[in-house]
Amino acid sequence: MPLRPLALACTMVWFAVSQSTLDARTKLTTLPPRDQVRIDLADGRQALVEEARTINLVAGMNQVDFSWAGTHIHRESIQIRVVTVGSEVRVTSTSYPPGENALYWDVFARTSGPVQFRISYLIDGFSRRIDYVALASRDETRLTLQCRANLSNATGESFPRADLQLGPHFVYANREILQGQARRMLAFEGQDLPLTKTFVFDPRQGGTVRYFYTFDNSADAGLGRATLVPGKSRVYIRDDTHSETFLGEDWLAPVPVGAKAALYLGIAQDIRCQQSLVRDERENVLADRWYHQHQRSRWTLENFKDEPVELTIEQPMSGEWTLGRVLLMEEHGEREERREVQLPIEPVLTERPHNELLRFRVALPPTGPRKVKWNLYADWTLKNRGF
Amino acid sequence: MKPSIVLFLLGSWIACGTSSALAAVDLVTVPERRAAELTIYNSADLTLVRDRRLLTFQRGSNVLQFTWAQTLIDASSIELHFRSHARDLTLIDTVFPPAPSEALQWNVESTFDGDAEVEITYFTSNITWSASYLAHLSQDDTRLRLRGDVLVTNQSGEDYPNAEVRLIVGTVNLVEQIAVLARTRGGWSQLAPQERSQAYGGLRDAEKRATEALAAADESNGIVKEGLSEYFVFRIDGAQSVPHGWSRSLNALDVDDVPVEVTFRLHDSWGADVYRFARFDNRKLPGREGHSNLGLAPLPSGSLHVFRRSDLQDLSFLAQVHLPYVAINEKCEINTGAQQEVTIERATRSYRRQNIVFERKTLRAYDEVFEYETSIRNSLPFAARVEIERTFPASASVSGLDFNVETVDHQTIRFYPTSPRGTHDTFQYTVIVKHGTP
Repeated sequence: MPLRPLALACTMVWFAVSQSTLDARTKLTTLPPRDQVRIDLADGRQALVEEARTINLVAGMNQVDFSWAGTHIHRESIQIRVVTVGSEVRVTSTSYPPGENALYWDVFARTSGPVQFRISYLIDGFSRRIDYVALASRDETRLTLQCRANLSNATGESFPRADLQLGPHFVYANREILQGQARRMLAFEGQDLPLTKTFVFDPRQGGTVRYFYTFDNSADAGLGRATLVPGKSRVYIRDDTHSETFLGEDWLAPVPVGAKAALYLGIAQDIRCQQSLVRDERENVLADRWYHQHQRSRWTLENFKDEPVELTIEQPMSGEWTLGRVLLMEEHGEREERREVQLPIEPVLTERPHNELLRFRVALPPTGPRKVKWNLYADWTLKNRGF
Repeated sequence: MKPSIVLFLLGSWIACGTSSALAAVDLVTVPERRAAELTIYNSADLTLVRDRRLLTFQRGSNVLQFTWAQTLIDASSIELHFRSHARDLTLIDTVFPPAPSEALQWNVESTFDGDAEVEITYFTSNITWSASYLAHLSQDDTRLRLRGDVLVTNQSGEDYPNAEVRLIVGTVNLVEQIAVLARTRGGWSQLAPQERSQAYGGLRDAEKRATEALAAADESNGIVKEGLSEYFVFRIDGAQSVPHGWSRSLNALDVDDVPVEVTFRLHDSWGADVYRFARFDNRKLPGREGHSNLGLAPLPSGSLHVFRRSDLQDLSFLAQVHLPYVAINEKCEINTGAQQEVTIERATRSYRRQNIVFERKTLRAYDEVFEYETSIRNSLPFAARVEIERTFPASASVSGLDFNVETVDHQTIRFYPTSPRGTHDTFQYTVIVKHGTP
């Protein structure tokens, strides 16, 4: 593979050049240098390269030759534009020789002299990856968030100096990105972002309680300049020894301005939630083809942490359903001595955010040596089933 | 001979330059590792390494090169932090040269001349830790001695002499496996001869230091336990040497005379065998301290060998089981396996159907009525607590039992008879299972 696969040559021909001369193209060895290069990968998928080059034209017709061996440039995307203001320069036609990754432009200039052109093309082989590194305070109420852009170059072409535009937050001037190289650059840092920790039990995610970090992409919170683009997020916490411990990682989904970001970091193994279906009865409306299903679910809750937590229980629902009684019981004793005492329902907030979800938010005290164990019961009827 | 991690300070220049330094090595300093800290996770093949070194910076642009040939480091996780002069030093960017090359280059802008401590952090794989337990059950099934050890094994390809070791108990979420990430950028790097020589030299030094430190290691290293977010950290006191290929075991727990409650269980889903379960609480015991007490930390999951210890201190093997994670104040149950001292026989004395409902020649509903007889034979010299769990194909109701009946779920019930020593008791009960909807 040639070291400089992208070649731009300028052949000066007289105005009255014949078609046969064009077929026998002369490739010059002198290459006009790139004045400036901009690589735009803002959409994250397709890279656009824009090169500014100054070409000395002679009055009359000129032939500007462009070839790209060893790279994959989208031929139909190649554009050339005159940048020099006031110059009477026109690109009159573009020709593609057979069997080559090359083209030439016929350029007419009224006067001789240097003219700056901008050449743009789409090229395969650049990839942009966004990642985040977050550091939580010891009490898990504040977060420092660093966003970095990673650009790797497998295009076959080296760009010793290029302006990189990789997205709204990701603009870098005058960076080198050589063939085969990758470069990681800081995009922005949010300091001291308010952080919320949440605990969620969802039977669709296994029988465990998962914990999340959530924060707002808002100006109030210290972000909010643009949508947070998706990327792998690694989260650390500062510990008592002034060291940092890795908590977990997650893919950050796109977070529009004003929306909330949520990162699932791991299992909260000291919070237990065990779900059982303790009633499942069918009430026939018409034979077995039309019925109501009466169900009662029990969630047994234990919090082995030192402090109270709010646990969110998500119960997927479907079709027509009605919620019946919700009861909170405290369980005492074990085995044959086991008994339940009803508690006020205040620690439980019941929500129906949409038809497919029933949600409870439970303010759960620590189990402690007293072994506090709560049983949350909910009755519902799955109505008009079977047809 | 194997390669290792090497950090080069390649040089510095005033104007912001290109990365040609990677090709033309201008070796100025190879700083020694001042300290290392290993944070090892047991839920995933993941270790966070923190590696501190002292570097001399010059005003202007500085280039640091970091290589990690033939190790299992996730390149995407390598980070540089400035632990001193943080305001004078700015990381401009990080450059990964073309693969295959296990190296990267940091471009650092400095506003001062002098030494600064830097910390390099990265994830590596193949350093693991695991917990294992030994339990001695007393002859009368009332006391337990529990010993817990942690075993650290290093197969990462890198030596870590004089490292602080921290073990994380918890389940972290990983979206990609570190071992896979570690293999995504080529094999043995194409180091320049000078770099390669330097790497080997560093390795020899590390091996020598590791051997010395291992020999001098204090056998009484303790384990400090502390909670951190949703995890628990076991921090091993003092510097440890964890050379590649070695394992090291440390005692984390040794508690004698733990009160234990034994039950004998018969569950429909387990067949006809009766299993002995020993249960204890991971709760502080009065008058105990440090690693001689429970309830100060969770018990990480691990393998457990259970033995019975006779009054003459002879051991007999009972079971090898997996101990799941046990939180502080949580009860822990150990299945010590099927036994013959307490046997339970169950017979169906009668069976009939009733309340049969037909509609248009179709069976719509009926009840099944089972009358069971259960006999419990206890040949132990003490009373046995028994737990019987029954599972039915549909909602069932039970009558005739003198015991509390617990509803496990809509198909499962549980009851708890007690069998006095040396007795053979029999009791009957009736179960009605409802099918269909009348």
